[in-house]
Amino acid sequence: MKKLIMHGLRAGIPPGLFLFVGILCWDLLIRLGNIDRYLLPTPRAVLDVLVGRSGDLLAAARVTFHSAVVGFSLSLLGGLIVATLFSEFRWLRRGCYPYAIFLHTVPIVAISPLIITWFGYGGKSVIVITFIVSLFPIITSATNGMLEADSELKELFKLYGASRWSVLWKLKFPSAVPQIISGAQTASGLAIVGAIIGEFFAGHEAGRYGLGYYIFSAQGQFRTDILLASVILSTLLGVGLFAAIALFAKTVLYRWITH
Amino acid sequence: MSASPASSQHTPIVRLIDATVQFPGQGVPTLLKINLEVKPGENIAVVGPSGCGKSTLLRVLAGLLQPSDGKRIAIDEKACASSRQKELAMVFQDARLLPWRTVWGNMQLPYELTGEAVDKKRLGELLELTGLHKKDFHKYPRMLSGGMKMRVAVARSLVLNPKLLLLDEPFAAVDDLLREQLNLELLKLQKQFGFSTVLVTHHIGEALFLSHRLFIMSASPGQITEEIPIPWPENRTGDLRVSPEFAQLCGKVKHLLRQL
Repeated sequence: MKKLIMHGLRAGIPPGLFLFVGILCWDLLIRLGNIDRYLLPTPRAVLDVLVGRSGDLLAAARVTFHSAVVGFSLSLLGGLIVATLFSEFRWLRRGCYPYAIFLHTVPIVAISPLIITWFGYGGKSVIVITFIVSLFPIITSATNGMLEADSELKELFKLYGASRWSVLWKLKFPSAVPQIISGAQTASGLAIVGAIIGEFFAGHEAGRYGLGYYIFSAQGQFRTDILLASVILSTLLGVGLFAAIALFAKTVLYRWITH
Repeated sequence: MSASPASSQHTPIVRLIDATVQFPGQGVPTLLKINLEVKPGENIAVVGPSGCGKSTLLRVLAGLLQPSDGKRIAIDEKACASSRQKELAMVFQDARLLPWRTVWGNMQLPYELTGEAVDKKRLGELLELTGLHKKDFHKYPRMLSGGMKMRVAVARSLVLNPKLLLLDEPFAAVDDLLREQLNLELLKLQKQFGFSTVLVTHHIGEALFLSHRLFIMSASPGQITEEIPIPWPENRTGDLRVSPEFAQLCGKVKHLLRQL
């Protein structure tokens, strides 16, 4: 236990120190630089918003987190299905992979209006945008993971006359788990970004405001303190989702570590 | 060990007749007109320079790769990779255990893939024969030493009681002392179960120690250039390795390899 605390301190002190220095510089910059408060609020003002409006902000964070998690889960499921098909059927991979790259390169901001036309303003569009943004890393990581399954193990399976299903389920899929997890971690960060962007454009429905909406409306009112408070919260959401996957990976993945 | 019927005692388990393997886009055949037969209880070793097609030869014997010319005849019709079979088993370099499965889970794999009922008693016996303790059965491969991993891989290959074990540089990743130990253990297992072996290796001492016949291959195209009968009796011990005859034969093989 003592060791764990010491380890935590050693890991926590350097970034904590830099955070403190950063906040100090930020504060000094405003005081000495005579910067207008509406351009850059003081750290204190942001903290006041975080505390004073914590109820509203947390409710908004919950809405954003919900959209991000639903979109991310859909992309995980969809991505794994697509990757499985890609790894099993070479013609499909060759024919469709370029269009999967399209998912990665399409400017999501540019197609958001189209998505809103199809799915309407509100949560549904936000989830669709999140889904599109986070799908690609899962497809590529899972496809590569399955294709890179050890060739000698494939031979071993073939020697025992394993069915295609066995090779997929007992060899390719488990082989790909480490890569799928790293793809999911990339996708989790993107999912939060996707949800915020979605909320910028698709707004809200039935009083369910997300952080993206908060950021958008705060900007309209020149309330940079609210804006920054929302940004901090959305970053924390991303870190939280990333950490949750990392924790899951740690408890499950230990088996995959070969050495 | 189950005694084979008298009639099949001398029938080769697998036989290659003029087997040639030509990969598309490669000018020189990887294997050229290989004639080889593996009889029951016989040990064959194949040595040769890197890239001479030793591993390809093993895959043709296994039925994993069809010769582009010539024939592969297996004693049992089922002894080819297109159908579920249990006549052949293969051991690779670095054990090739599934890292996400425990030792026990790895041992069950041959049963699962062929659809046979799991014989837990046999699995336990095999693992104990190869020197694993009960407490190791539920460990993951990463928790085992290199030698232990190899022992599990050998035990796994024997699960379905194969007639022929194909060994693709199985002990290349372990140190010399452990290699010699594993060689002796393999002979012991062979005595008990009576399988034949085809061993591909870079290690001349290991090849001599573990075989009745030694084949030397040359590269581009991969051909068998020499067949050397090994004179020593069945019950080989570690002492053989330090005998003058052993050193002499080692020298001869080295000389032949240098001439390639």
